[in-house]
Amino acid sequence: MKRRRRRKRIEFEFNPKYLWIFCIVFCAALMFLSYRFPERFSGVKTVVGNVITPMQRGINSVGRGISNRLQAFQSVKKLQAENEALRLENDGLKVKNQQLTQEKRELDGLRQLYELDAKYIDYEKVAARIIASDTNNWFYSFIVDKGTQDGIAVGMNVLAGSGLVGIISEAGDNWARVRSIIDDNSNVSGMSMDTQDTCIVSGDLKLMKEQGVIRVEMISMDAAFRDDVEVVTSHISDKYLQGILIGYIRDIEVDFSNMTKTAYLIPAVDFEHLDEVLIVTELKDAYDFD
Amino acid sequence: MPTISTRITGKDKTLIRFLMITIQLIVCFLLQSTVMPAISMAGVVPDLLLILVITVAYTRGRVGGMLTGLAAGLLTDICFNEMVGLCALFYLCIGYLAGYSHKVYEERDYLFPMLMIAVGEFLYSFAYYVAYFLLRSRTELGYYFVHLILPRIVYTVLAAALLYPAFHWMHRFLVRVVDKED
Repeated sequence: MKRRRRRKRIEFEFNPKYLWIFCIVFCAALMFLSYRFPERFSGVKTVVGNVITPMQRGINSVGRGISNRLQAFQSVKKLQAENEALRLENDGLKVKNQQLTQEKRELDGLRQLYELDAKYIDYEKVAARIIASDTNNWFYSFIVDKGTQDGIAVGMNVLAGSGLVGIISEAGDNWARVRSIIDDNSNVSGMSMDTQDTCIVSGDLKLMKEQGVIRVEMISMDAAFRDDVEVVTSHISDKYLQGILIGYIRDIEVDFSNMTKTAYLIPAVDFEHLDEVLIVTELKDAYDFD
Repeated sequence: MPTISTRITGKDKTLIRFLMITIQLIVCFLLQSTVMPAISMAGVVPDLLLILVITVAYTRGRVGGMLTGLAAGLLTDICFNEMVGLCALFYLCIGYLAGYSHKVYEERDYLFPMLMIAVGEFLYSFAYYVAYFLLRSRTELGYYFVHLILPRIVYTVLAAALLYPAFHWMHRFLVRVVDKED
């Protein structure tokens, strides 16, 4: 017993430097391995995520409870006014919906006549809550509370409201990580809604922080892009389903090279106040072979 | 003298410390990823993990600092990064270097650890910028420094003003309860 203790003490007090060097090598090895064989690491990530996520979910539900309490104190007047406005809007929407439903029915009929596939399928969606966000401030990814058990898989598109939020980049049993389109690493192939000219929408931390916009690149010189044109995910993207709204074009400029144009894009989703998202449980590949 | 049976052995001490630091680490990580984004200022959240790493390094020395750093970094990497090991490497080195300050550890000195936390956060953010942004030719260092690194340092030091005394109290408590029989 005594001897063992002594040996341990020597080991611990003697060589912090060697331990340090060993840890550096260990980290370097991990970096290399996780970069080279990411699929080997997904198991470890899943296990850790499965342990951490329930705790994050718990904290979140407590936080949400508190903020709900606080919101209950909001003045009744304000809520009434809002209710009134919403009711009016609802009436308008009802009428509009009626019209659209009729038109859709007509369109379906015509499509059937022409034997065309429906262009925009009603995708199956799963609602999920955001339970944690990246602890560094350099990238914009977050964790949601649905995982492979709920049918989520890597590569599924994530929406909020009517706009594109991002894509599932990792999935555990009961959690999944979403990389958003405003993340500095993100590139999405987009196209203009009316003319179908393609472009690349890439996330940009600096622009997002400064002006709340992201970058649009590779617009061809003869493309008929205008300000406020809606950009949707394109037909040539291999990850994103076609026709999901990304945002609105702003400030088109001709590039240095004089070969392409660049522009800014205001995302359709309000990333500052994102709480719940919808995950489309359909992958682009499957869609392609349908 | 207490009898053999009631004594806490060296192994137990290590285990108790290990457990306490692990709990603190997990609490910090959970707070940082869930609560902090809700109270972020200027779009940044304070780096609670770094505060813990520096505190442990300052109160325990290089070994404690680097092992805490390694664990904190691995946790961050595994949960949020595709490449595992880079944050771990940064925290590891910061913990190790900060561990040298254990030699001048002074119980009532609160200013020095704050300074170390500021410097540590700068090193961490800067290294992160170089690794993930500069190498992808995002070269506007001035912009990123003013809008990300600096606010993060300020916010982290503010959070440390609250957290460091808490961690430090925990450390003294452990020393009182566990180490007194040395």
